[in-house]
Amino acid sequence: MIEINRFVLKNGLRVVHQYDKSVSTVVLNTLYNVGARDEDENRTGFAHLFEHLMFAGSANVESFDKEIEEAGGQNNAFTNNEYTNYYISVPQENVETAFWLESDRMLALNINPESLSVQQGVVIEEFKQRCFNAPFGMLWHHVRELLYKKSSYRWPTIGLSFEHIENATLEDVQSFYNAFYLPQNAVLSVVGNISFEDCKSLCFKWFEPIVKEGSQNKNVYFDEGFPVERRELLAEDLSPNDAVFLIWRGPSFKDEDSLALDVFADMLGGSDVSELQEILVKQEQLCNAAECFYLRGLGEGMFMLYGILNPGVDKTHVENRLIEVLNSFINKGLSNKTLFESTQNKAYTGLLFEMISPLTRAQKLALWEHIGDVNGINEESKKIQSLNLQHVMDVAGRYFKKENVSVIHYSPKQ
Amino acid sequence: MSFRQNKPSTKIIESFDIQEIRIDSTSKGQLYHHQHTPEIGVAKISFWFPCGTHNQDQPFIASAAFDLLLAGSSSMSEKEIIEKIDYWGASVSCEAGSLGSTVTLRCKKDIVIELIQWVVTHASTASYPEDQIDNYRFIKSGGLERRMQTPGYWSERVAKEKYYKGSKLGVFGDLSDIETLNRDQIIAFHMKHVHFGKAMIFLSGEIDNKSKDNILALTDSLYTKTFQLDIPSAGSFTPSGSVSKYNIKNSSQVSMYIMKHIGAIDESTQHKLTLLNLVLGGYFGSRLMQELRENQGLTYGIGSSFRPAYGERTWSISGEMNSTNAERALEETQKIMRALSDTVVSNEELEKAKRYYSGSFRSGFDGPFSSMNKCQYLVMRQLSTQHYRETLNHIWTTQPKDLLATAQEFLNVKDFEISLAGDI
Repeated sequence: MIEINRFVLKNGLRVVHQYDKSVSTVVLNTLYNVGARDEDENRTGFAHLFEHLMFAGSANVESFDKEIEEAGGQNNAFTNNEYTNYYISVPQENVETAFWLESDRMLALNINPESLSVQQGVVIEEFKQRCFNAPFGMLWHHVRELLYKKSSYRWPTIGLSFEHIENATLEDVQSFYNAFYLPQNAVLSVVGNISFEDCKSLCFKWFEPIVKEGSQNKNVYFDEGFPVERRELLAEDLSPNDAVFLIWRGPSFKDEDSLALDVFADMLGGSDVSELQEILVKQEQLCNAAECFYLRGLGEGMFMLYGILNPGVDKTHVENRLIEVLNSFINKGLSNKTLFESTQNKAYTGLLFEMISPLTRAQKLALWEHIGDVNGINEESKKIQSLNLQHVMDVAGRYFKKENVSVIHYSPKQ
Repeated sequence: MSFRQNKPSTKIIESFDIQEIRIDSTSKGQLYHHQHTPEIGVAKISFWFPCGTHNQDQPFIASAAFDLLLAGSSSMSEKEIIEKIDYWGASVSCEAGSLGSTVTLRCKKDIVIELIQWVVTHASTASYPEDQIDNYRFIKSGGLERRMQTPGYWSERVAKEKYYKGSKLGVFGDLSDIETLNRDQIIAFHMKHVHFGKAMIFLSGEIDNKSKDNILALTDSLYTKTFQLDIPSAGSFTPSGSVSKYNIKNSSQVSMYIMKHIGAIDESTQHKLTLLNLVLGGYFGSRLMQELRENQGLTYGIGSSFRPAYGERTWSISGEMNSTNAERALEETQKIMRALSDTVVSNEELEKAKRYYSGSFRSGFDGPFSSMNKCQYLVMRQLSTQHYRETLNHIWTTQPKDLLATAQEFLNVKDFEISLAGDI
């Protein structure tokens, strides 16, 4: 359990804090309520491009990275379909520098044609490196194309094509900034060797004067409804092997079923001796890798079950075996009791290890506050322990049916 | 808001209190390192074996010996072994390195002794069942095939095979080596090298002195010989003198790999090289990152770093860029290398690198598991346990002229092996 402090500034910025005297640093983590799902369908990849632009300098800061480096700190960021997250970690002595920098780019980013042009180039390079030059690099394009027909979840964070990035104008990015980069649309978490009083004082000094028009992202998206029919996509990509991916959409993070499905995925595929490994990889030698996971998204989740095939193995056969293994596992029900307890125990130990890092704590705190339940960070392990095995199996059985699976059959690009 | 124009003052991390990295030994002579952190609820224990890929007669033997260490023992199947570990909520990872290999246990503090006993018992009597090796061939082949599809794999491989010719440092395994892996070889490696009684032990997390003593009493019973890394001489190497090009048809990206070996150097030189590397490409503010990425947009990622190479190190620059930009990126990189050897860096640039380094150096001592890797580094490089206490002083007293001299000695473009892989 960690002791959490929380307050809200007059401008709407939510702040959470945790004092950790054992470290020499302070982490400032800022989560903005904007992700790929907030983009225009002709301007995909914007949230991610914008993440890059946030390092280009602001009204009073010529070079963001230079200032952090001179303060002996480090920083980075990531974007996903639902939010964009920035962090700065600095020596405790230089914490005010972090407040200055983070607040200044919230206040007024220096977006100019030159910085836009450079970052467009960088992001396009990233697109090519991730999508064209890595095995299964286009996987998420295919997954989202298959699962969604109208919703703004149908493109990946990197963007549908790099032409969208190329075509971005200064006005486009300025509008994006004005719409989403507001204190009332953000959460700031501060973790490390800084007292609550000092944290508050620095927040009042650097962040509270930032007043911007606009409202918090209401996160309203087209509700497409989960597929009720089987969908299939044949894809070719950079890959030495065939592969089969089975995907189902699932409940959102806040839904209790989401945690049950996360645990289910760990039970089915989270061990070196999991059912998936034992049957598909070791006994039947159909695959050289077989895994599953549940992505607990804020808006909705996703369960992926996949196998990378050994040479000469038929994709349809593997698809059928994946479904059979899944169903058989669900039908085992309460006989999975020991495995269920193991999974709960591993999850508990995993959380203890996670919470050691101040950066991870800062990111988790920001996310839980964004969800609306900052104390959730302290409740995670209790929730896992209080799950009921039969309930977990029932939920999985309800969501993961053969009839409404989305399937990608992957072949190596010729 | 004029107050925003006043940049907050920053303090330099010139020194801080560093606890000495202690390496102790039991009464029998087994080396260990212990770092206790109260009230965190978890522990991490690592056994460091003085063996690795440099001991193998054929590629992948050492990896197989460690990857399959818990794939079955004389008394239990893999499933039985792993299910128990899972039930405890613990995890065990086994990894072969070049000179030293590790078995690392992560668990709640309450079950440390049982877990160690369990792992040691079954790893010591590892049976390497044929069916597990058979599966391993498929798994390992699949992973290698996927890596072999990337330009990054080939640019590094081609450069190292050429440069390190004749040394094991330049040996890369192929799919055929995986196919011919056999049980006798793996068992022979295990019998010869994988002994808990010769390992160095790292105990970290919530392990108080009493627990530490109990653990060491347990491992003491296995003791055979004091841990000693066999550090072979890497040799001396000459670059081929030409840019190697490995063609991957239709690859949109080209990977660039530029490298050389850095032999034995004293600590003072090492610290200067650290700073030189930072300025060159060791952090976001470096010349490579700023020029090739931020100014010219040629690449998403480029950087330089040191990797261990038999107690010494490989210095490399690597990056990936569009095929159309590859030649230009290479020219720009070489220009930057030459510039560092021709012109003294400014005080400002060097100061920035020092500030960045000192901040990350200090934060590297945070956390309950920080000292293990630092301890291993000392042993690998045969450095004294006082090394870290002297680091910041070396860093802060390095002058621009020192960096110039270091660059002139080590950063000569002609001394580096260069390879490009992609559609070129």
